[in-house]
Amino acid sequence: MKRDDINRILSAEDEITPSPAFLASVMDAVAREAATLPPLAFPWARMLPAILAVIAALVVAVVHGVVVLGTPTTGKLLESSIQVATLVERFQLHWVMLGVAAAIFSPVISPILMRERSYA
Amino acid sequence: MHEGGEDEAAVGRVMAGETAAFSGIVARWQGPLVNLAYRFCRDRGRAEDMAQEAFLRAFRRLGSWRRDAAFSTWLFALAINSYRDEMRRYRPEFVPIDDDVAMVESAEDAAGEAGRRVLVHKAVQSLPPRYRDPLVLFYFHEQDVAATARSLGLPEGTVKARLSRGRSLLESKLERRL
Repeated sequence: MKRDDINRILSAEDEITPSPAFLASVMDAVAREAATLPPLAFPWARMLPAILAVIAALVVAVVHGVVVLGTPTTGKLLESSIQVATLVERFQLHWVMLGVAAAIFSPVISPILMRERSYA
Repeated sequence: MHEGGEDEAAVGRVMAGETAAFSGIVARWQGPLVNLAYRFCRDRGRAEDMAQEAFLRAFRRLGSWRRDAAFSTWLFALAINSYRDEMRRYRPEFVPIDDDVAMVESAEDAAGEAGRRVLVHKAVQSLPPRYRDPLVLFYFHEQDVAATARSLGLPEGTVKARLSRGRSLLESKLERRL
C-alpha cells in the first residue's frame, strides 16, 4: 500500500454521531461531580506556629552547637553532652525521634516494598 | 453570538455556580470529542466513555482555561491528554499487525476497500503514541498542521517531523501485505 492510498483512507474517515443519551449521561456525571464536596485543604495557617517553633529550635540548636564546638575546653563539650542526654532521658525523646523517623520513612519505603513484591 | 463567545459565556456561568450551563458546552463539542476518541480506540461505546471522562476533566479544570487561547484549543488539548491516559491505562492486548492482517483476510477480502481501511486503522493504532497522536490529530483537523501542533502543544516543526516518521512507519508496516 502506497502513501497516497494511506492518505486517502485516513482523510476519508466516517463521522460518528454521539448517542441521544450521551449529553444527559455527561450532565449526570457533572452534577454528581458538582455535588461532591471539595477535598479539605491542608491547614497551613494552623501549622504556621509549629513550623516557626521548629525553625526557632533548629536555629537555637545550631547556634548552641557552634558555640560549644568553638570552645577550646573539652569540659564544656562534655557538660553540654550530659545536658542533652539528661533532656533526652527526661522527655523520652529517643522514642519521639524514632516515631518521627518511622513516619517520614514509611511512605518512602512502602512503595519500594510493594514494587519488589509485584515483580516477585 | 459567535461560537467562541458562547463558550466563554457558558464558562463564566459555570464558574459562577450554574452547573447546568455546562450542557451548552457539551452539546456544542460532543460530536468532535466523541469522533476524536473514536479515532483513537475504534470502538463507539468506549469512545463515548472516553469523551465523557474528557468532559468531566474539563468541568473540573474549567478555571485553568486562560482566555488568551481559544476554548476549542484548550478543550482539545485536555481531551487528547485524557485519551492518551485512557489508552495507556486500558491498552488493548498487543496484537502484531501481521496477525490483524491474517484476521482480516479470513473475514473479508483484504484487497477490498473495507479490508484496506481496517488494516490502515489497525496499523495506526499499533504505532508508538508519539507518532500515532500527531497522525490521528492531523487527519482529524483536516490536515491542518498548525491546528495539530496547537492541540498537542508542540512546535509545528516537531509535528511535521513526527508525521513524516509516522507515515514512513505506516508504509513499512503495510507495504509487506498489500
